[in-house]
Amino acid sequence: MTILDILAADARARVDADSASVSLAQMRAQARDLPTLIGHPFERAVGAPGLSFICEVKKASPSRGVISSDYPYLDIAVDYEVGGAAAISVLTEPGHFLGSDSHLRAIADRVTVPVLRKDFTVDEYQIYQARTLGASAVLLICSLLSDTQLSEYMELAQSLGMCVLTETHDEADIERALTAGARIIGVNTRNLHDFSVDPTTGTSMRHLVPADRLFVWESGVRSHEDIADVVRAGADAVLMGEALMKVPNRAALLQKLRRTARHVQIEDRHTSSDAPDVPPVRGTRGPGVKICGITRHEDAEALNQSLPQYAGFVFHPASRRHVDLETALDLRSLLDPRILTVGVFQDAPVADVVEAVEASAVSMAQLHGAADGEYVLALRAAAPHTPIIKAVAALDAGSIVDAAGVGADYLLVDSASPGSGEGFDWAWLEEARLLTDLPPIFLAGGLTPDTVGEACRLGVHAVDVSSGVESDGLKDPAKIAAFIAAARGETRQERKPSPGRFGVHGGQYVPETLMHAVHALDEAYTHYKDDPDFRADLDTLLREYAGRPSLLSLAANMTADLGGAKVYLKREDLNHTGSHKINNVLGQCLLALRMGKTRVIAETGAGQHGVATATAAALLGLQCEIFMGLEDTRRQALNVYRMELLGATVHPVTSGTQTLKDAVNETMREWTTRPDDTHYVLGSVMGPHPFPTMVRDFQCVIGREARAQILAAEGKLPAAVVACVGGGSNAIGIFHPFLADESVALIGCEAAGLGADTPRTAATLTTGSLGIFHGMKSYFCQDEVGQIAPVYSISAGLDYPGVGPEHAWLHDTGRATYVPVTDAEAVDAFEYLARTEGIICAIESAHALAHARRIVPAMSPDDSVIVCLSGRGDKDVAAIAAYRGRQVEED
Amino acid sequence: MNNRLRDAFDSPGFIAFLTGGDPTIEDTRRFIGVLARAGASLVEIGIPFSDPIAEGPVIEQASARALDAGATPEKIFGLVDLLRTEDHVSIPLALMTYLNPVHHYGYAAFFARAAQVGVDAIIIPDLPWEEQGEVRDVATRFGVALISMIAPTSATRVRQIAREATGFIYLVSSLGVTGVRSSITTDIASIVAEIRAATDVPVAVGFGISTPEQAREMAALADGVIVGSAIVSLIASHGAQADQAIDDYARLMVAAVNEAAPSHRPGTRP
Repeated sequence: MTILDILAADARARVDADSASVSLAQMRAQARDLPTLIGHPFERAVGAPGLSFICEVKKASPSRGVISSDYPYLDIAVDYEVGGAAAISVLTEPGHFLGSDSHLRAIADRVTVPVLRKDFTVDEYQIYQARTLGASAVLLICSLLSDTQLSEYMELAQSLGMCVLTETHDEADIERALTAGARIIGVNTRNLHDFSVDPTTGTSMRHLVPADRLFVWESGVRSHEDIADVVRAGADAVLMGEALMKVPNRAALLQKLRRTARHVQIEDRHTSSDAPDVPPVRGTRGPGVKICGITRHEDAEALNQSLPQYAGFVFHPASRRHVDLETALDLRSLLDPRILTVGVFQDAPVADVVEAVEASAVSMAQLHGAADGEYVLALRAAAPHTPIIKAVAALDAGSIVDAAGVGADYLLVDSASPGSGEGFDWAWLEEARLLTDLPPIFLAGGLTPDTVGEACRLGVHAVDVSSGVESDGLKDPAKIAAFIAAARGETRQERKPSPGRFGVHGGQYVPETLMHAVHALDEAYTHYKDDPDFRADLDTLLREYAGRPSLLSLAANMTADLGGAKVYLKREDLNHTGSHKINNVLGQCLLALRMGKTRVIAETGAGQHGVATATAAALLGLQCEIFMGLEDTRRQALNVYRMELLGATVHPVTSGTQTLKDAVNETMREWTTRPDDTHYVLGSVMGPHPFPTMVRDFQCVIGREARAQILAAEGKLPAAVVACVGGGSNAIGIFHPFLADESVALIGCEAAGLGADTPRTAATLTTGSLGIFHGMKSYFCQDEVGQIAPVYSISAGLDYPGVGPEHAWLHDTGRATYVPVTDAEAVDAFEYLARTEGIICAIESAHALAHARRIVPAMSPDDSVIVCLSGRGDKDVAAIAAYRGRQVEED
Repeated sequence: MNNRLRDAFDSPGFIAFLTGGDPTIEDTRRFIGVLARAGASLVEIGIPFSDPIAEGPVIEQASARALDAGATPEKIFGLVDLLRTEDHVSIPLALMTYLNPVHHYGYAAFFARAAQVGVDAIIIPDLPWEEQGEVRDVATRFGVALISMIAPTSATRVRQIAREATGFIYLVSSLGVTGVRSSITTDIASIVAEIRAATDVPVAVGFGISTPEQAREMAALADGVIVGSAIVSLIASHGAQADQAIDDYARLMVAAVNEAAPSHRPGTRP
């Protein structure tokens, strides 16, 4: 005999005993005399939105023995009601659960929520009896009843206005219950034959219950984790007993469990319904992030990239970040479904909040201003699904405690003047926590990417930011990304760029036809860069062919003239072929040979890189073809002839603007035609991975030498390193070995052309925006619809609409700074160096020199500055003369 | 995959490409009507980009013409909207463009707008499989198929790409850029077989196809034949008066593709 059989037998005996004093006919009449219950209160309460809690009052159980020896059943029931129970279940079985019908009657009289008579129903008598005791519902256990009894008893309960919770244990039970017309199905995860609990039962049986019936999870729920399981299983209600009975503050525990249920529901809602396959946003580390006050499409796109947990729409009309409902809906439609939207209101009518919720613009409501407990209750009633955040402008710990009292699901603690960027004393939060039990906290007020890390240590649910991620009053994608990274505990140092990625920049955005070639190159480069033979061969070529190491010359006259820091020139102009380009082409051509390539192709602007590639190809016996804009072949006819002398074929490029970017386009097209025997010798730290990394590594010889040389000369590091930036290969080459030396300022000089505020410019970092071009994500000069913009500079080598991805990253992180230098300033510097030092430098390098002239006079004579003189200026002489109005063409 | 796109590959199809806004948006609108009536299964509309590195000179010059004439992504969306709402063009329409204009428009905004006007698919030549994460989520969210390309050099990547492909697979017939070729030497049949081993998403072959003979040959191997430069050349030479030339050519190609259909159906799916 199982315990269930015993309980059933005892129940029958009770019915017999009870009907001896009050007959079935009398009991029926008593029940029928009572007014019929209207509106099925139990079903309505259990089926309310969100997870409903049916809380059980019981003194003992056969499996646990006596749970509560003093058993203040009325107090318990009242605690449950206060804690927010949807219904109360009262055990009336006297023999094993030590219950009593009188407990039920007293509780039903006392509380306003519906009450379930939990007993072992084996006879219609008990159903009438339940009604007379004040119950709104009865329990029917499938396995105790025949199919006929099940349907008859349900009908009977129904006729009295009562609801039935039909308890099932397996698939067959559920089938029978549904056939009998059950509307509320309980799945008891405790096996009543042996009292074992199988928590997976509930989850596995959920799908057996149709959506128009209610699913109640019975037994086995003890913790917040269990509640999460119940919510995720899709239960409408949970029946809890023991776990609540045993704690001193039942109402508080119940409230917390309900909050947990609500949070799980909110966090999962989007992932479960709108986007079935996406993982939740919530990272494993750190609190959530709420980016507040988004107003534009660009903001939504930026959030989609960095995926904060929450996005806030400010509906308060007085805010400068205010959006109307239509805009919010538009933005919501663009936002990744994993991002939850929060409506920010200040003293708005409840109807306004409800409207935003019902339109699905927001899934949470944040209330500023005077919203009190009454307001929260009204909002809850109107939008029971919507978690509420009460915002408090903290003045002291007391104000936080007061705000917690309004009964919202979360508390957003802000400074006394929200949105101003000001903070508040975080100690108040700790103090408030000592005084009361605070709901989960959104921490706001003056947070920035730099301060959020510390804020996260306060143990808050989420950090909230608005002005802290803005530049010039608008949301700044780079700051948003930095803020979220910092909140998740990823510091900049930790965030080592992955191979091929520098922050968000870099990547491999090339046609599929080229993917095999770039992967093969990556593989070969990864192998050979550490290969001792390869290194030795390259070192020999650099030393004995290119003439390395290049000098680091003290520019004594210039130093004396400027009267500040000492100026050192890193003399890449003294390399074979007259620029730093040779460092890269020797490396790449050597690699091409190792890969078995017989042909190299390259783009060139002014011709420097083309000449260098043709030189290396001649030396190493590779076939060489150079692509050069038609316009550039005319401007640099001498270099075209040089390349031809070196055995290369020069293809004039007639597409597009007929300059450097079009030469790159055409070389890429050529590479897709013959990827097998051809290597593309890309001339700068740009293009698809591995080029930006590989070219940097080949150019780092500049910085390694310069660092050793300056330490030898000065005994300390320089205060600054200055280099010109087009694609940025000489700059990255000299910067990179100094990256870890935080005292060394790294300054890149962009070609501003006629001025960074004019359309005739090539200052990408100053004027460009994020984009994808030439195989990489980086900053580019582009027009209002994303067409690559024509750029201009007097320097053909800097005349490029993009910048290498690592520079873009150094710009984002602030490790390097980038300044624009105009044609006029560069030409002045070009002439200045010629006169003061007797060096005619490349017009590209003159951009770096021009900036050095600006900053050096204000620096200490104890400090030094290194300027990378990336090339010599013979090629520019005619152009400079023309700029000054002199004709010195050789023909 | 949406129904329009799936139905387009019920039998081998002729897929036409033209550059949106070449010579004007209005002309493109009419040309697409011509192509649809001539029996094209799908039309790819190029959103011109300043630097189309996967294109040969024919399409590159068409892009330049369209840009000079003022074509923008928004105008192309407007064009698709009119095709759907006023011209009742019911064949699937795909956009072909480079990633930068899409990024600049805003990924979510772009795909939302594309879905709104009735775009079925998008082809982005400079977005290889490894980088598709840029837009995969939004494309899925707004129900626009992100078309993957497979090239003769894809080698070990073929199955990987095919497994995750949506809409249809754009099989690049030859190395190099778009443009008319006298012959196609790639072993298309074996790449198609490899794709088939991984997916039943339809395969369309493009790059270099211009003659009915080539179309017949490719249609026998795959589910669709994509023709771009040959049509764009007709537009380049006939300008706004290209309707008849496009019609004649498209009917010839549709017939050629249909000829291949009954005898050989490699892509028959369960």
